[in-house]
Amino acid sequence: MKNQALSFLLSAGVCAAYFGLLAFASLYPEIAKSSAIGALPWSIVLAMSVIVLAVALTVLYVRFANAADARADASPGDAGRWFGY
Amino acid sequence: MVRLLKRAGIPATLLVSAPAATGADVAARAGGHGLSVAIFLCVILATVGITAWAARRTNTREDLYAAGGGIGGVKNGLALAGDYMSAAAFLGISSMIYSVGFDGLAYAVGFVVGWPIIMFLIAERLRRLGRFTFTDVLGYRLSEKPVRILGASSSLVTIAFYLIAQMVGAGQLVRLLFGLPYEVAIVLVGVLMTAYVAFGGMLATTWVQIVKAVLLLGGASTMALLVLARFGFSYDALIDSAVGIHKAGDAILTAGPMLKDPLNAISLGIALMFGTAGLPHILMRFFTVNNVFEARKSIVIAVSLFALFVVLIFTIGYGAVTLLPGDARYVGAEGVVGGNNMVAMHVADAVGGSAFMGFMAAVAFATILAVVAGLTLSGATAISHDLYASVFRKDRTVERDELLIFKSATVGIGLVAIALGLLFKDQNVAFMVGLAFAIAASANFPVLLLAMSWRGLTTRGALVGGSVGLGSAVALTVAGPTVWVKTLGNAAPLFPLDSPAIVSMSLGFLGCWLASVTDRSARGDADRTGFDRMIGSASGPSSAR
Repeated sequence: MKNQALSFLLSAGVCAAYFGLLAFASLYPEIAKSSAIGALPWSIVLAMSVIVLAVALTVLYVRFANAADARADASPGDAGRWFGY
Repeated sequence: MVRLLKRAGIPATLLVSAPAATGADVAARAGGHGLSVAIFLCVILATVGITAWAARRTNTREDLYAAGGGIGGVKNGLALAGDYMSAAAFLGISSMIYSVGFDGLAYAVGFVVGWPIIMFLIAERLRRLGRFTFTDVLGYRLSEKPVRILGASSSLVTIAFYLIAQMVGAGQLVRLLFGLPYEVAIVLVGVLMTAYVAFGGMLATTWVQIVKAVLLLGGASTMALLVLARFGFSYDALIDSAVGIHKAGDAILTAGPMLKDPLNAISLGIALMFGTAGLPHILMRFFTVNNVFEARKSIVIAVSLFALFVVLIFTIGYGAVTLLPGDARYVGAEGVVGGNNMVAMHVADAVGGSAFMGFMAAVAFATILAVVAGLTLSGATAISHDLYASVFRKDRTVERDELLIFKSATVGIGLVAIALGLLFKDQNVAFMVGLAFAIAASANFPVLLLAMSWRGLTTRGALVGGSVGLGSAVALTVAGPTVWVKTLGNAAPLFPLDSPAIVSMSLGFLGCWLASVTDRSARGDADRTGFDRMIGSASGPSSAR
């Protein structure tokens, strides 16, 4: 199955980002509340970054997957289809 | 307040029975305003109108369960986002940010990151392999009867806990916002949700969800902009002011009570992330779109809108920290007037006046209706499609009978929901949403993911893993601090974590794996071969229905 490894890798990346945020805020509360950008602390900046990352990865994934499947649908056979099924 | 409600045209028989004085004050400002009552009635009329329109277009199983597969990606994305933007999310998370700050934001981010997981691991394969429910996928390669019973059972248990929490919340919210007695509110919500689903099926449920999502996003955006306007559209000024006013000071910018224990925080995060990928009413929505392309597009729309929603709630929550304290209309000696869940409503009043608060109250009511309708639809489908048609009447199903069973199941679920709503009145049911997510993450997600991506999974593995995940999620939640100590009044918990997902989901996966690799039966071999057959038979074009 094409790209299954990529799916698991991306999922692991999202997990690492979110659980990293939770662990960071939990283990380093003083750094988390210190200023990152103006009055905004690291905790909020990182939380917003995780949100942006989640949206960006989803958008990129869908763009690549839909483009690959559109090419595969346009040609005979299923070679090149995103998941192979 | 009574005079105000009468002036607004609410019949005396529907006036609040015995709300707390503080709650009555909230009702006087929200329910007592003529505009809010008008919007409240408009919401009911509009949703009933949608149901009547949808009922004329709902004739077959495909229509009832999947809106004929004719919902576009953008519309489905709106409906998916709407499923997630519940009253609990809107009122609960803003309240959490108001009370403890960053913990609430971290909780909300957990919902957002669940969407890429659905995209990367579940959605496109589910759309290719299933027809109406996620158990279709399990039945594709495993022994159909046992896995259908398992899938339908865990779906119904998940839905039951979710529904109880929503119904009790609905009764309390409507009582507070509109001054209706709790019992009247429960019956009203129960009757409306039954009507939407029984007559309009997935098409009505989807459009009710879309209308509500647009109203909620529009209202929350306006509220957040009005909050920011108070601070010159500067988040720096907003955060500075919040830190200066909150009694915890700058502690609201870092881990609070919920995140103090890293293991507890990560366990809750697991339930939020992976529970999303196992919620039956969310998974059903991927069958309403025409093809895989549209399914993917709908997730992009859903995750984008929900991310926006979280940013809005974050703004409203920190805005509440700065705007509510010191004003006796919002915060009294005993805390937030009407309870902590009223924080967002008070912010609406503070920045937009009572008319805007009334509008947001009506939107919150629409939100409740849409979410319980989605849950009811999913539960009725589990009964009529997974159990009746696929298990009890296998190969002998008459479509007309299946539709009748669906409608009967909808009415049955509606009655049970009303009964449970009345039974759990005044009970602490907040843990039930968390339990629903934990069950979805521990019973549904491992079995579904492995069925679609691991050749080695056998029927025995699915049954063991699903049962262990379901049983351990329920048992460990009951043994945990939220139920064992706070609800049942015991001195110390038997299990230390509030959310059991880190253990129960691991047990679910372990059960699937161990029971599969030790399975030497002929059925096990057939299940493994079935995986190859499944891939082969589902390898049509992505643009195919």
